[in-house]
Amino acid sequence: MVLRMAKRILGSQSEAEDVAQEVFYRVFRKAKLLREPDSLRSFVYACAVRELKTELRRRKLRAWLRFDKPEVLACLGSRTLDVESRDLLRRFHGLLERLAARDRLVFVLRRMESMTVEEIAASMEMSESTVKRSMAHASSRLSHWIAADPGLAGLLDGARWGND
Amino acid sequence: MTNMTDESKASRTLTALTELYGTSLEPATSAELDRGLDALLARVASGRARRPKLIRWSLVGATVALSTLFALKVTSVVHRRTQALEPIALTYRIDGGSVLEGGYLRESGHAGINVFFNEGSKLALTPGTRGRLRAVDKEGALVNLEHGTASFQVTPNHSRRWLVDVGPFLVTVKGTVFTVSWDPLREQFELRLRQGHVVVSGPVSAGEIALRTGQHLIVNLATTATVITEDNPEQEGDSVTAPEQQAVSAPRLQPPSEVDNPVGPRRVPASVPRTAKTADLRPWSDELARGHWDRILEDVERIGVESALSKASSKDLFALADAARYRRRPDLARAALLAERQRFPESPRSLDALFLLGRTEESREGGAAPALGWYDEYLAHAGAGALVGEALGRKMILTDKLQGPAQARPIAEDYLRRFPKGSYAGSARALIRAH
Repeated sequence: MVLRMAKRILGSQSEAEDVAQEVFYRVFRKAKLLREPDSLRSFVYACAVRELKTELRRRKLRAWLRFDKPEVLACLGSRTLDVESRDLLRRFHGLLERLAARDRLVFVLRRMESMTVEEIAASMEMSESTVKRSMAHASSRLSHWIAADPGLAGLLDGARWGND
Repeated sequence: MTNMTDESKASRTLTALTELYGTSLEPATSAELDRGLDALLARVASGRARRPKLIRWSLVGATVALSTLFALKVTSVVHRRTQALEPIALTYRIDGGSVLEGGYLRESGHAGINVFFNEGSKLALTPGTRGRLRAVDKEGALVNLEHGTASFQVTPNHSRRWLVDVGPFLVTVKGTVFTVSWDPLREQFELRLRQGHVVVSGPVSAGEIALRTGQHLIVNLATTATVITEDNPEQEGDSVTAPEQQAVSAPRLQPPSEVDNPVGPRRVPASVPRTAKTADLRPWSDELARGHWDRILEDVERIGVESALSKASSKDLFALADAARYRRRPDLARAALLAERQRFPESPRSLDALFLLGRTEESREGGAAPALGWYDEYLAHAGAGALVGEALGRKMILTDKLQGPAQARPIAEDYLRRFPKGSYAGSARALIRAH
């Protein structure tokens, strides 16, 4: 669960593994503070979200300090997908990279992890209305970028989703 | 009106991309999970926090360096903007061949193909190599190498990015000279870096590998061997002009039993020194848990497929099926699962085998329709089985693919009703929204 979420958000196997290890290390250290066993899942989620948020900010800072754009490659489906699909994933990952850390987290948690607004709000320690605003903002920006990218539109024209 | 259409199309595209992105993720293998657990246990045992030195250094150094960095950053931004004002479209000229529709490079003679780019970069395909220029624009180039050997000499340029798709690997290049080859039959990837640095991502144990000047990487998927060595100067000189020789010299970098075998674990010679338990089947479920898939397949080769399928326990047949699937040998996986069904019809694994038969068929070309049949059979017998959600999700995806969204929609609705937070819930909602 944690590894999958980290891979989706970071797009990098090695970074996702680092984050997963950090999350479980924290869970292990703080598990004794957990009074209700039922809340373990949300506790793990909250830890994961916090660590991912930190990692995204850290990555942004590293990019700033390095004076170049970070080369993060989407390594999703690298063995099972064809070249065209991997190309699509790479481009889409590039668009996700352009989102602010908070918007990106909210988008992935809502649209890919299928978490509810309430769950996201609890995990990210923000209000539900902020989650909704962030989700709308992320969707709007991604749609706008997709519309402005003729390569993406062209790639999808031949796919089943693009057919009217 | 046009804007509305564009927005709607972009929105549908976003939905589709989100679905692709969300469902394309490969599950973590047991070996990866074991590796992670080992690392975590080691860390817990040592009781150390993460990167304490780095954090301490950052706090002290950051204050001192901040003003300098800011000045450098300003210079960098100005420099980048100056560059952005002068974008030069990448064009190319081809010697020894031509470009077909879709960017495929066709060799006209037997001397290979050379592609010269206007900014000084050069790509050379050795005779018989199949490659494709997938994209060439002002931002860089995306080259696809299907099999064979190609040499690249990429002129450094901060604003351009070169990507080389080599089998299941991706090489990211900034400015460098290297030779890369991919042999799909042996499942062997090889990269010899002469200058600069590249990042290789793909099915390697570390996820991504960064190489520096003079390094030579060989990844053999069939033997799960990843080797990085340093080249000496004499070898470098030879290999630029004669990549065929590299293929001959490369195996010395690995144990002969791993690399010299032309088809990996599928043909294990009788002389291979694995004499400890030749008559017995080793516990494959244990081997699988340790990520030793090839050992399982070697055992099968040694004792014979028929014998293995007739003697292995239910648990080991499942392990064999998994190992065969991971090593992309669907025929063997299918045979193991069918043996499980035939020999242990009352076992709970027999039911799960129906689902895995579907997954195995999906990995074969044209296997979507039979896969759908297996999922249907599993769903008909599974009741509230553990894999019902997965089977229903796969059925929805395949139905959409084979019969269209109208047929898939009821399955999506059924899925959401039964598994509103399942791993296919996002795809199901996307399908319902799109239709």
